Amino acid sequence: MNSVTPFIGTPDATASAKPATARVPTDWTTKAMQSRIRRRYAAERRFRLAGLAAVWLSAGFLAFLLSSMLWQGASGFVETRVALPIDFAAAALPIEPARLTSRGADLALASAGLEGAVDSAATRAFGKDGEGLLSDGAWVTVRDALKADPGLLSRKTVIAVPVASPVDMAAKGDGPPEAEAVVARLKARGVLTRGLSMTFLTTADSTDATRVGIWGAFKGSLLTMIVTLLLAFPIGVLSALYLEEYAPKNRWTDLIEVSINNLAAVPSIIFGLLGLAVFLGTFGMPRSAPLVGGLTLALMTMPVIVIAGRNAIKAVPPSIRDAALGIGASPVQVVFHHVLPLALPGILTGTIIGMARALGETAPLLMIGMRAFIAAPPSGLRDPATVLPVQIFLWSDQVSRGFIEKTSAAIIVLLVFLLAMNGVAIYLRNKFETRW
Amino acid sequence: MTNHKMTARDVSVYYGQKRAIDNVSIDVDMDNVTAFIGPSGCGKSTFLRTLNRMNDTVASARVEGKIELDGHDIYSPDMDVVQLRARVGMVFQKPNPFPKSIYENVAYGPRIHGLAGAKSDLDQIVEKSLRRAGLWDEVKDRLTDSGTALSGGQQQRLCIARAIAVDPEVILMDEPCSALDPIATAKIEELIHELRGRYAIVIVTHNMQQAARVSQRTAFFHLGTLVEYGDTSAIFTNPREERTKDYITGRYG
Ligand SMILES: Nc1ncnc2c1ncn2[C@@H]1O[C@H](COP(=O)(O)OP(=O)(O)OP(=O)(O)O)[C@@H](O)[C@H]1O
Ligand SMILES: [Mg+2]
Repeated sequence: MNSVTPFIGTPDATASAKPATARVPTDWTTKAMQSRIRRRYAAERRFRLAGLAAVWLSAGFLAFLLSSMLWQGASGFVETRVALPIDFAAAALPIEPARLTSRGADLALASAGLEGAVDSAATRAFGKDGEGLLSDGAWVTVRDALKADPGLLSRKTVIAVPVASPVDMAAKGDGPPEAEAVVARLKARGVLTRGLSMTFLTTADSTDATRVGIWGAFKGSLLTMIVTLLLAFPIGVLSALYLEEYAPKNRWTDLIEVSINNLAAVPSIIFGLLGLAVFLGTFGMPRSAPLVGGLTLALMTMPVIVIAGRNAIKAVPPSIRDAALGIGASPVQVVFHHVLPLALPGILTGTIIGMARALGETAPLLMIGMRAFIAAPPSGLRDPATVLPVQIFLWSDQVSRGFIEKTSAAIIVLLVFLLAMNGVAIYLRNKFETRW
Repeated sequence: MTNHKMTARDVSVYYGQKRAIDNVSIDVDMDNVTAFIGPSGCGKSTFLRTLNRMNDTVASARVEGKIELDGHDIYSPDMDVVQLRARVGMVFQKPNPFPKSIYENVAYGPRIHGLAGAKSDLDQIVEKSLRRAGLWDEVKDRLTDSGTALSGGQQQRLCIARAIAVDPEVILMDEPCSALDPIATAKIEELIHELRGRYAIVIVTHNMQQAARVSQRTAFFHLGTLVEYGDTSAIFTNPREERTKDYITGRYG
């Protein structure tokens, strides 16, 4: 056999001859060509305008929602106070000043008849219906003033105390006519002031609109969200990782996939019934507790995280897995060193969506008793509590007009909570985002 | 008697029902560089991937036959796949650096295998590997930049550096020079010459001159079968089969 030289250059033997008729060069200046170019530009302009309009429309809706909420709700954070002259020396409360600094001060002052003393001071100062001018919680303000300065007990002083709901409404320009008259009179005496309502920021539900607070519901939401996140995030991410990276592709995993997708679409009230039957019924957990609320919402949030997580994991290029496996990384190392960090931004996006939905959820929590009237902020996961959206729902149902602005104020608190939560998640997402 | 590092006997690979490799038997020597040549789609990559069990990651792939590394069946249950892949390293056809810094790309392997105790040892391994891959001078001032920000050819050399950083016994290279200019190609070929004897090297290439230059043994694949396997000089000067001759003279359709 002859020796063969390695192949260099084009093999001429295989190249076939070109057809003889030369092709006419394209004329880019014809009329048809020009109008095609014009149409292309016009289509692009239309598309951009439509997109811009859509963005402005949604931004407009958001701005309208936020500004109308702020407009209506801002006054919910403000209370009207009246300067109440009170003579503790004359009232002669049966209590030693030393007890005011001890732990039982609240109880001692209550049983010493402080509330009565405040009422009679009001009657003395503002006439026979003076007692009705004050909020039911006015004596609590006086109590706190006494605790802060026990020396008052032997003196005469003036304390600004919150007014009753109709007077408060009238002072804000939206009250019943008789209250308007009272406000005009008090304004003439120059005893009305306004200020940020610490009551609203630090207490829980009440039957009196001037005494309600958002802190109880806020803390309830916070505890519930913590339980939800601690359960749904790790379980959701681990399920997504297992299903994508380890599970064999067979009929069982298909079934699980379909079930999870369906679970994400189940109406939330069904999860409430499930929570009621399982957590309260079978396991005998306490009613109205953030623990149970968190568990129930975790059931609801988990599928969302699993679906988002699987999509994010699928989007990690297989070549990265090959690269790591190819230098002898174990499957677990591949997952935790490469796949998970690259998928994390996507997983976090899914988590934001799931958690935001859980935060705004009312229906399932009604089922497990979180709609009860709860007058004290929860101090633990097993204490009765309510959450922000349920509190909003409860207040919006109240007949007393003072609750309207409190409802709007609660909505503002809920939105701020939501924004803060999303802000943290977006910060984390940007931190883990990889530049390719 | 040559020193066989790896031996493959009657290996067939299936993707589902489709047979991609049909009854291939090959020896990979310690002192020789082995080149795989053949038309696109003939199964070179597939066969290469069976040598370090990368086909395990393809759910539909099934391997029959026997492949041994130093006399141990690599598909036997007591073979640890992770260790196998550390001993039989691979450079992939498409450059696939991690989206991490250049330094981290090279340091990752030694780190997970605990090859470097101190940071200075690791620095040394990184520098040595990058130097051997002919990339050090281009990246030494920007080791913290992302590996994916390099050019295609630089990425490929980074992947080579990453593979040799774990000090494997066998290196499988799937067209390592497909995106490289002649100068970088020459560097890689130099590297192969330098590594020869210390590592068993298998290289897939579409470049006949390259196969002739770097390898001592050449295997010609066609449609999943091994058509001819022998000394490179013999294959290129005096092929036994008509198909081999047609392919290396470029007469193949
Ligand atoms: N993951 C896969 N699933 C199914 N078939 C595959 C898969 N990978 C490769 N094949 C098929 O196996 C055959 C051999 O492919 P392989 O990638 O080994 O070719 P190759 O010789 O490396 O080609 P090239 O020179 O173009 O890289 C091809 O027909 C291809 O379609
Ligand atoms: Mg290939």
